[in-house]
Amino acid sequence: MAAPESGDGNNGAARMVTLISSDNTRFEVEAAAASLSQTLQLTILDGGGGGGDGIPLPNVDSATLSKVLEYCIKHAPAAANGGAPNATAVDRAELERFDNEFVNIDQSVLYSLIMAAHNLEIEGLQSLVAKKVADMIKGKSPMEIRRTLGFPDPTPEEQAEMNAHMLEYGWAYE
Amino acid sequence: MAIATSMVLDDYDDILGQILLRLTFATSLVHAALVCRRWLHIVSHPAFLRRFCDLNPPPLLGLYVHTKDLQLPKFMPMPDLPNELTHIVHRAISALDSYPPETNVSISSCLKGRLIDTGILLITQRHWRRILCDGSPPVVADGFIGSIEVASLSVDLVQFWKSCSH
Repeated sequence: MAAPESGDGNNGAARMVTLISSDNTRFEVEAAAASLSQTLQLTILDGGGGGGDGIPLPNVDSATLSKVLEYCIKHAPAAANGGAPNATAVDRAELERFDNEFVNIDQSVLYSLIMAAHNLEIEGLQSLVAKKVADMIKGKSPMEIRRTLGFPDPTPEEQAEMNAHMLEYGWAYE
Repeated sequence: MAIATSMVLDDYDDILGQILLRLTFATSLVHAALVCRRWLHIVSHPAFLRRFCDLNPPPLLGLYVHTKDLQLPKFMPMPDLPNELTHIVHRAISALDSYPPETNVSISSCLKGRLIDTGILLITQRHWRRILCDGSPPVVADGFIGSIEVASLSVDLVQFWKSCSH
């Protein structure tokens, strides 16, 4: 197993860091997994998060953080291989299966994940949730998109604008 | 507590942009543009459109086949096209339907990466005799009676928005 980049002489055991959610739950994870977050990476490289300290994450609640860490733990080995150039097809298929299952979730959870991925700057997760929302939008009419994503009903002006546009360019919206 | 995804998307242009970039099909993007003014604003930005085109190269929708037995060229869609493209393919199939039977239509070429609807509108509304060509010669396949013209009937967003915005 590859040693953590900032060697801590921990007798080969993977270095662990503690993350603290907004509701004060402590999560202990391998530094390599937490480092998928660009936001956390520097802190961890500087030796933060170890021992009794822990890194507070005031914007992420425990339910969301546990979900985020599930993603990070699963993806950390591939990321450690520099994007996994040597990954077998089986490994890649397994990650893809995991990803598909991972975003098969309620919209409010998806919402929290979008925000957490954004705040923690976890590139792979940002991309995954963005693709999920895009898939929810594809093939839908503007009104269906609004309903799917929980937009409020359009104001009369908005509705008039949409109708006018539809009338003029209806061929594009069949 | 259920929080609508739209609330997230309300506050962060970059998150919304990342989502819209992944819509894959120009047809889906056109629908998304109508969701609200803010979405239209993001989607209409030239830099966004360039990125979208780079990330989502336009697919080949099908071929126009023209043999001596056919009065009008016939559109043959590519097999296994995704559902999102069904209506555009349908338009391509019926594009030449409005011609009177005796009309002699030939497609000299098609616009690579150009919006198919532009061509269709020109034909059906203004009765132009041929779909605009981009100057490249039609592909003629050996061994066929008549010619097969490869129609790259795909969607160029920049062109599309130009046609929409006035």
